[in-house]
Amino acid sequence: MSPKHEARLPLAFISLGTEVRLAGFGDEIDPLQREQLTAYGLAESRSLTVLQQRPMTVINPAIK
Amino acid sequence: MRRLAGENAEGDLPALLARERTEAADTLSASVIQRAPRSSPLLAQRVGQYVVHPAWGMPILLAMLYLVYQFVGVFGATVLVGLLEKDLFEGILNPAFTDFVTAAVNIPFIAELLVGQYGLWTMGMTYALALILPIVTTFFLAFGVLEDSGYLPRLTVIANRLFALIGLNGRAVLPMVLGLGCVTMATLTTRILHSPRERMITIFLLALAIPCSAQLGVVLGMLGGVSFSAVLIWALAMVLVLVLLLSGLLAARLIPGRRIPLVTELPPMRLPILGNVLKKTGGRLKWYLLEVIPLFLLGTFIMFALDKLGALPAIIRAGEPLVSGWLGLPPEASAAFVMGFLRRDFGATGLFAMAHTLSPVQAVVGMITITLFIPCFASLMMMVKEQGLKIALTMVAVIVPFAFLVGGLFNIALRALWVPA
Amino acid sequence: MNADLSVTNAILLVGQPNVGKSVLFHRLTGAYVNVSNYPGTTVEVTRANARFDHQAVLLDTPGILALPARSDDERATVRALLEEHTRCLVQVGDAKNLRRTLTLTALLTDLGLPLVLALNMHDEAAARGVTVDIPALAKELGIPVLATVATGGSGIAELTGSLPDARAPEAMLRYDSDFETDIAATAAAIARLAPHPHLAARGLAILFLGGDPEVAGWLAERRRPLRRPRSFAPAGWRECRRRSASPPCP
Repeated sequence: MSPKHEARLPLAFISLGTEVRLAGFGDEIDPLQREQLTAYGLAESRSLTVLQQRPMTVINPAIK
Repeated sequence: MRRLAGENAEGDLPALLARERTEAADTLSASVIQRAPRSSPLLAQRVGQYVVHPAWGMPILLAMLYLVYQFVGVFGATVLVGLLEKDLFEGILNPAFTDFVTAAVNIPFIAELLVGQYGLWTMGMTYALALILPIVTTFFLAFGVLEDSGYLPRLTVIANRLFALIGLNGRAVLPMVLGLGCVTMATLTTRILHSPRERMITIFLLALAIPCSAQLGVVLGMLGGVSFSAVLIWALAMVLVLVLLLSGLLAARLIPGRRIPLVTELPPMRLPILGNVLKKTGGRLKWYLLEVIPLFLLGTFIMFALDKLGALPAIIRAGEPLVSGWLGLPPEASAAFVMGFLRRDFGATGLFAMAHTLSPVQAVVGMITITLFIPCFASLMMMVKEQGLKIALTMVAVIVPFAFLVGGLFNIALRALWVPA
Repeated sequence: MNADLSVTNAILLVGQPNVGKSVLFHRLTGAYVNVSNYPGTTVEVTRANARFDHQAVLLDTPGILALPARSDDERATVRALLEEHTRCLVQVGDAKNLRRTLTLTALLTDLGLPLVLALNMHDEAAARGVTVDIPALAKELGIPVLATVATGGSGIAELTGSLPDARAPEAMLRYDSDFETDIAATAAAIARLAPHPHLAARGLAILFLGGDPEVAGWLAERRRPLRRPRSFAPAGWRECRRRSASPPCP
């Protein structure tokens, strides 16, 4: 998901403060959750910033 | 048409349509928005970050809880209730009203109905206004402040890990916290949870183990009045938490389904606006009083009727093996449990009334059992509304015996192990 | 509450959770509702008479993150949309989160109801350095757009002033041509067999294809009394089915 190296990592492994591009949701996500996430502004090829990983992943969907 | 929908779902049409809407929205919003660059994050943003911080989050939460306890438990339940109940009602209003009624009303039956032992005024209204009202007001004020500041969604983040143990995601903390104010209202709020399984588990836990503010106040007041306040209160709290977790674990196992991971939005935090808080609290109080006062009066009337019909002694006798034998309480406590069926804080008050006759163990056992009862008739009705009659009755059928079971076990354990200081 | 079934006098407040619908509702009706600063507190539809127009009934709905509806409170909102005799929709949006607001607008414009957009909390947006070019947005969308701060009370008069003149907007977007064909075909079927007195068939079609359970239920119900022999099934339907069975576009 890193824009520079084209590597793909699960979101939980991204370090704090990094801005990344969402490559995909993956098959394990409930369809209901996928819609929720889309409604919050997450979509493929859209970027987001990771704010926190503990106790939960907190992100800021990028604003254009 | 149904077939059409079936195929669409497989082709993921909904997601694609949603995606196009998002993109159109993106383009449009980008064309009309201007952003001024901000040099430093707002204070509110900083606070918002600290509150969910992995290290700072929990201490902040505990500090919050302590503050709320001071405000609701100490100021509300002890100071305000003391003022209202002892000084105002018992000191001035009740004697005055009793005199008035006995003089003005010729029919002794009616007089007793109004101001007797189970009088509509002396028990029902006194209880509602002197005991419940100050506690509930302080709770709703505190809750309103937390709400308006934007703290509550962050609470779901902090609670998420813990709640995962009982098969819920952090979202469920909101109805539960609200349940500490009023379980009936909280049961309705479970609609924010996304899966029926989560709703069922949360409603069950609300009914079983979450003491509403009125009850909390009574429990705190009563156990605080016994001189080993700190130890007893702590013991009770620990017990409740344990019971809560255990029942949650059990419930999570027994009810089929998966847990949905938490996805929530954190709105910006802000300084609570006094006007908002007062408005919310006022509205909630109004809702609460309209629900509660008629029920108290009804409950009091039922007690009055049972007493008059001579049924009360019979119930006391019938309950004796359970209440005295198993729970180790004096037989009169049966009356409190009957009241407890109507509203558990009603029952708790009944126990409160006989506090001076109870040993510390009895006080704790009584309070534990009563706390585990279903909260009140109103919440039962809400359960039926939300989950249907069958499920609601099943829950009741599980909860009531469970309450007695736990109470009895604690009776045995405490008598054997605990030597009150 | 409606004595005459054909009278449209309901004004619905819709929008994402936590945008200030309930505060606005309180301002417009004086009725108490449970307002709070966390998403998801309104769980039922509340109705009250509008202060500014005694004929009108205002409805506060649970917040919808997105449509089609998934949770119970979202379904309550869709039900209100289906069952009320709506004169006008007021979408309450978060000024500092315009993108998300417009995602919902995109669907609401297809419903064929007069629509007004109230961009609320614009004080918070300003505090974050975000300014929205409201006239430009209004022009693009073709509907009145107002900046409001419901908690403070500003913009309310302008909002109520814009309601009488509200008109149904044009659709905000055209979907991909394949989808558009499906939508058109479904809409045609709906218009023929289960027309809604106030909602446009196109909007219902989009919701239905999106998998909204309330709309599906509503349509299924309407269809029963209109059961027709196979010959009446529009060719467009079968066409629709074939299209949708094909894999989604990349």
